[in-house]
Amino acid sequence: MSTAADYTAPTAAEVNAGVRLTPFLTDGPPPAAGSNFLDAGVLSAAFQSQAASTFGGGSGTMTVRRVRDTATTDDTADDGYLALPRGTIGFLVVAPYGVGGAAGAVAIGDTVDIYPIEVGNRASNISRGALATGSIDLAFNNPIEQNYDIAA
Amino acid sequence: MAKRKDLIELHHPETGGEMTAIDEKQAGVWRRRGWKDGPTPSKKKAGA
Repeated sequence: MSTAADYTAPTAAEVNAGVRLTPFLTDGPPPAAGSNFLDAGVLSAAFQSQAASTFGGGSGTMTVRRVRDTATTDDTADDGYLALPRGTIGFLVVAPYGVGGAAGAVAIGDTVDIYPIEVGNRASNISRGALATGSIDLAFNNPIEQNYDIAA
Repeated sequence: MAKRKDLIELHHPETGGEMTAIDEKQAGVWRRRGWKDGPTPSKKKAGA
């Protein structure tokens, strides 16, 4: 998904206007987990109480398969890799419980997570006896919206 | 932030979405998904 009026509440049409990446992925995005903790203990207590502090990070690498068109020597079939060049800003939408629309499209009622991303870099991995893949380095530039039910 | 001149503007006729593609190949991926070239037509009319 590349644009949305409000990324925390995308419509099914906005998501389906994006590029479907699952045919090119073996793993999902890097887990956007991570939190810092601060010490909140006081002199009167021996228990070292803590509190949640800043959160975020988890930016990392996602691997896409590079696909060739069997009839040509150009990149027309390589949509996963081509959708994510360095500097791309957009959103990854993940539907962990599946999608209700036809041919992999999302539908109203589907539960999705939305990851706002910026592609920091993209590199190619080529080795003998392995599928060619691309390493996409992603930065999460805003908080992840989790478990949003598509409403429109 | 100043807009880079080499970005390709695209719009989606159904959702009204606007985006800028980094290069021609990325633009091709989106065009195959139904995105059209240029900014949203309503904006063009306003500017004319």
